[in-house]
Amino acid sequence: MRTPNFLLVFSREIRDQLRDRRTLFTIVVLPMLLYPLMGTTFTQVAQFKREHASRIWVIGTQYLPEEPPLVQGDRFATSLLPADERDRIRLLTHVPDEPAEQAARRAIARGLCDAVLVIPPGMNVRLADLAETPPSETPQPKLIGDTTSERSRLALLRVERVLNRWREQLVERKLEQKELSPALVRPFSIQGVDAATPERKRSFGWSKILPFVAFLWALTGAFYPAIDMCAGEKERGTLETLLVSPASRLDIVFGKLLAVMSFSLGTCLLNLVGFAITGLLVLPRLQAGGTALFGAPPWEMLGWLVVALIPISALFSAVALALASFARTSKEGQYYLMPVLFICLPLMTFALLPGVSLTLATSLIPLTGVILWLRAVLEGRFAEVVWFLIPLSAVTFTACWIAIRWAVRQFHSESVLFAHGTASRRRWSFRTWWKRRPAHATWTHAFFVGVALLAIRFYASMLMPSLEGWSSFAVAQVLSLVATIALPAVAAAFFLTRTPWKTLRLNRFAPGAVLAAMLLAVVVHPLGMTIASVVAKLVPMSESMAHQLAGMESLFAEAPLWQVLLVLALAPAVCEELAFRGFLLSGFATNNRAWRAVLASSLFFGLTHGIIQQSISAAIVGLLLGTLAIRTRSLWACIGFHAVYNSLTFVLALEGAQWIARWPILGYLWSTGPQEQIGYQTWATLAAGVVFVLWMGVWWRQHIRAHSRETRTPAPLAPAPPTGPHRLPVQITSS
Amino acid sequence: MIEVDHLWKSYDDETDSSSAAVVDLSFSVQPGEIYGLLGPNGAGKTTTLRILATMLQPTRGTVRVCGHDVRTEAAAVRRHIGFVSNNTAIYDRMTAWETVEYFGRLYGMARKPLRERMTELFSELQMESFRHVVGGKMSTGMKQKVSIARALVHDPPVLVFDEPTLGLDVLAARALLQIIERLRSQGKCILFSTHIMREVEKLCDRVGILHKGRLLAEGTVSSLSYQYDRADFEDVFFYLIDEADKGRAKPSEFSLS
Repeated sequence: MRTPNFLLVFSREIRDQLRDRRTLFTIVVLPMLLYPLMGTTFTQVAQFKREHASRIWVIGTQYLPEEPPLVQGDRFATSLLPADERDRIRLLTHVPDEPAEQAARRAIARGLCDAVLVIPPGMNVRLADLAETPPSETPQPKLIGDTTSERSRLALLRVERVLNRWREQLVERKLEQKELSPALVRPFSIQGVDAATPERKRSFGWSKILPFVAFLWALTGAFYPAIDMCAGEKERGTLETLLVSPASRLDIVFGKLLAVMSFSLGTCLLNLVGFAITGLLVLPRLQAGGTALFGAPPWEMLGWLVVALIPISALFSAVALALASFARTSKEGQYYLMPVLFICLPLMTFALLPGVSLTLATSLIPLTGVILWLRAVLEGRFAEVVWFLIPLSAVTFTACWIAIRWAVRQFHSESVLFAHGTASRRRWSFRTWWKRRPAHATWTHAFFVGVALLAIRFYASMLMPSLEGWSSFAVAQVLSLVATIALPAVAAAFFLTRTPWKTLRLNRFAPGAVLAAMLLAVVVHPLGMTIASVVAKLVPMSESMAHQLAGMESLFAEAPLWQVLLVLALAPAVCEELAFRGFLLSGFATNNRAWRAVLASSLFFGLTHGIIQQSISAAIVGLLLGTLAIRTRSLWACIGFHAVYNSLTFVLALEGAQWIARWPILGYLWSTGPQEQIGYQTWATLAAGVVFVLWMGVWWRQHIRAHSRETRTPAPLAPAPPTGPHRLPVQITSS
Repeated sequence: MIEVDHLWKSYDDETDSSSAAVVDLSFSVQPGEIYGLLGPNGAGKTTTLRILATMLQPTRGTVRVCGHDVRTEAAAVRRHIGFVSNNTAIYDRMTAWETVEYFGRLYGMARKPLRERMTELFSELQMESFRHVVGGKMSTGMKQKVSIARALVHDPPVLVFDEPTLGLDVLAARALLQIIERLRSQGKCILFSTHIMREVEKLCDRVGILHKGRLLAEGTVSSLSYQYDRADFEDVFFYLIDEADKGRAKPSEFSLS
């Protein structure tokens, strides 16, 4: 039987990588050496730490009372310290030759001691007759230390503990003198009982560290082999040899992907083994004295970790492969590791923050969700979190699928595979750039403009001053929409393309289509409202956010309705449509990829809304708007739809109750919810749902038909659809 | 065997012919024939050959190899073609034997026939001495031989050589040209690109002169010398290039073979 080509590619890549000493060293030898080395260093440091004693200078020992003793020789009195702490504090008791506080500061600055305790003159006398002293005039010994130095902080902590114990002894003596029970000072004491089993305790510590370490290794383990297999092969010229062989591009991608994944998993598992062995040997020694949270990690935990590791390493491998094939040289490939780390690290550390737990919302964040789930399982809450596997795997596998598709695309793209052959040799100049700017926006343009819009919105929201009153809010709102959304999009259309009007879809105006779109907005609005309320239930808003929004709503309530509609319905409709259904959709729609364009533009449309609850509903409405834009080939219809849709939302929220009171017939369409808010009757929602599904379904079928017609008909002499990212954008017709 | 019909290729979305890498190129190569594509650097030779090898997609026109269209039957084309170029390097960390074996298996050859074919190839190309040497330790000549063995392992009817003598020393280059001649005598259909006149005069049955993506003239070396009235073929070449740059010479409308 003949071996499939992707397996041949896979086995060759594995053999090739294993013959590379650097790869072998990083994935096999390094983990076996690294952790023992780290362990040795750790034990050394720990030893150092244990033997280090705090040096405390006590000034004014002559003012200390005889009983109970605080200082005995160069130690604190033995009754004040637990046995193991006794040797950890050394005292200096010499008398300074300058004012006490000045001497103390100087001694700490010079590192002669870690903390200084200054006993005020006459303290012994004043302690003797406390009965007459008002509480505000009790003696105040000074404890001087440097809070920016770890050693000093530790010393302060130790002295404070000693002084507290000494104070208790003082009180006990006084009570004894008055023949009262010392229990008066401590009427009760707290006894803490830990309900956690030793296994739970052990996994608690590991559940924070292990997933993080494992995922980090999975990423680095994927990256370097991927760079060598793609950018490295391009550099060495062997990729072209493979491309002329019968191995199809898919064979090559999957063979390489499997190989990268093997190395990612291999690196990770070997590191875990190294980590575990070192941990098993080193930790018992570290715990000899204290109560440590760590022990050997429980086996079931490692099992779950490996299960979670497989999709994650597939994701990392696909991302690494796509980036590595995009890179022209290995050096360029290595530059891409940093940005990927910068995206992944916050996602992974976010899951480690206290207070972040697994909810539907957090489970939808790639990486974060998986780590949180692992943490929950390791804490023994498997039954509780098992259903989260559905959103988690949906998100992880979607991310995987997108990354793999991206990698496959890279291998189908001529300009990526033969980048060195097509690069312009001319020096960059504004004139040539201006003259040669493409006729239509490209995918890259759309992506970067989208990201730029997100960044601009972020800065703008940070810089936005808090506003009082409706009129200043309205002005700021319109200005920020124009400046941060409309203007960048229009500028991009004019500077990056030669056909700005067509790119922004402003070149056709069909009044009929606009009217139809506005009607469609009225029809589907109930569905949007229902989705928004479902989202609000599933992903509850944080209190501070809800408070902020309530403040805004009270602003709108004081304004006349026509102004609210102008500022919050029409202005966003115009500005957002220019950006998302204008520039972004046109850019994403190159190569006749209408579906992808609709999805990507609604994703960005959702993301710019900032608040997750709004983002989700906005993205869904964005789907409809995207199809509308492509179908009518005009932005005006989208603006009409968007304005009517937004207006209805505000009319419902602000005037709904009054309108129902004035025109009772509206009661058949609208209903009043539990908190006085106005929603739609169920029949309206159902009707809207049917219209929405029909609309998308019809569009999907037409799109698929148009798309397959474009790609399947070979046209020998007529211009054929070229490939690569620099393809001619083919206008999508929906006939 | 190779039929190129009104082939256009442009890399960006500009449709004017000034930025296209290949403009309206047509030629064909028969079995037992060596066709030379002659042109200065940047003439579009590599692009044309990459399209033949299905690495690039034609923008317009058709290219057929053994009757298979490169656009729609890319896999079949790759099975019928052996491609050697100075861009198709060999693996540094694999031995000569492993490299050729790997590609043989990618062509779907069973182990036993593959081993027999490889033994035959290795003795024919005199590669036994460095059979177990890894690519990284080979000389340029050795590497080129491995590349040829790699391209011949599945015994393809069509062979494409893109500037194969580039970077080779005189002895290795001579040996290579002899191998190519031998392949012709076996009835292979060979497309050979170069910018070295001597190789063309010595080897090629027919020549196409390519400049800025256009075919300026086509024919046997002697017929071209006769047609343009130059004794030396090199003069014909430079005459055509000069005229094309001045915009006087017209690209040939029909073949002269």
